[in-house]
Amino acid sequence: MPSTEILDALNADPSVQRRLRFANCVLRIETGDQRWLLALRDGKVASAAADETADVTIRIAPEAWAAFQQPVPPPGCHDIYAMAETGRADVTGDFLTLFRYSYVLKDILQQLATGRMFG
Amino acid sequence: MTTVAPCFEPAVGRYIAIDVEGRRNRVYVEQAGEGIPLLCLHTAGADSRQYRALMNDERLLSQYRVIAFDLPYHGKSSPPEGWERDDYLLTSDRYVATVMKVIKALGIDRPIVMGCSIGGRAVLHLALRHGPKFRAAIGLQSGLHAESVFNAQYSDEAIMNRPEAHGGEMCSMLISGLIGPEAPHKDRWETIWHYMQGGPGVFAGDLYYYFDDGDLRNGLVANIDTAVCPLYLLSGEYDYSAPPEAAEEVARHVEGAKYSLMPGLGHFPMSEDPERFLGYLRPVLDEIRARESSVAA
Repeated sequence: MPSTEILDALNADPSVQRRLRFANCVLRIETGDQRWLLALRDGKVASAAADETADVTIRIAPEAWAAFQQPVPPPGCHDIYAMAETGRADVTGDFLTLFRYSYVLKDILQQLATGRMFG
Repeated sequence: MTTVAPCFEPAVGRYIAIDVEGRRNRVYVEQAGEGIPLLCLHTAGADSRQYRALMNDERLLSQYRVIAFDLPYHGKSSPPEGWERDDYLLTSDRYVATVMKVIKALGIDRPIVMGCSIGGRAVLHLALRHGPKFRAAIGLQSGLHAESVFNAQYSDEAIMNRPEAHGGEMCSMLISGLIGPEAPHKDRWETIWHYMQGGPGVFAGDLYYYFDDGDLRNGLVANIDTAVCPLYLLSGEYDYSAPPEAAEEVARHVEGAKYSLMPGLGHFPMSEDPERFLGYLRPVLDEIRARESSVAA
């Protein structure tokens, strides 16, 4: 489960609020032994119930996740799509949902990794 | 009464009419500076604003006439009459014909042609088919071909243009990761903004050239004569769509081509981080000028 600080930072952001106005989906993010199941719903990011089914699952190689946390990540580890395109992450599920909410996904990943926003 | 001089930037924009494949196109062209013509080609789904920094660089403008145009359907260029009944598809023939028609309409003599991404591919087609018409070609993020693990999703009737999707948000999102992590915030988001403004189906139509029709894994690039049209390849290291390895592959196939890595940059060097890009571009332009001088002498 993400920290309250992370969820608060995400939900206080105007662009996250705008992008999630009509969202109703669940994202699963996994790297190493870390797991986050997040609901994008009611205009906010929140922890999802453990039995909810994910619309999109993102699995990131631990080495790539560590590199992503560096102040200047190396090529191939600087973005979730860079990781996916270079075989460092695996993305499965409903791609329309993924592409619709990818800016928020990027904010979530940046918050989880560095405490910053993508934007 | 006090009059205040207008604070215009150097670039001046005008329209030209060109016929391509039997259809009239109203095309927007911007230019600034004086000297050797430097014709700039934008990336897929974007427009000539990507070259805004070059159009404002005094040093560059003192030696070069920087010219950039919006492909039909892009930026301020209109689609041809009847567009509403067609799916837009950019082919190699259409792209090359459009560039050559723009050159003819502007009356420019042997420009340096510089293009990025699809434009980086186009400079290869142009050097191949019309080499003597160019002083040199500069390919940014060039490659013989491109692939994506998301190709199935891109081509799923262009997921970014489904009625249930917001096309602008989708197109911009798909390119947002291609920008280097140190790009200035302002330039990163301006680059993304351009993609949010593309017309429906335009980015997908450009990707048809990028992924399919413009594929140059047919051996033809070996016929590019760099003694006639020198070829320079500059590649941003954070680009995973047209990565440095793709430009290196081009350099291996074209005798005399010169390849350089651009550390810190991604897929949109001239737009995402213009100052850093100019640092890589200036030596290439200097070399082209020096070569011209030695040939003239």
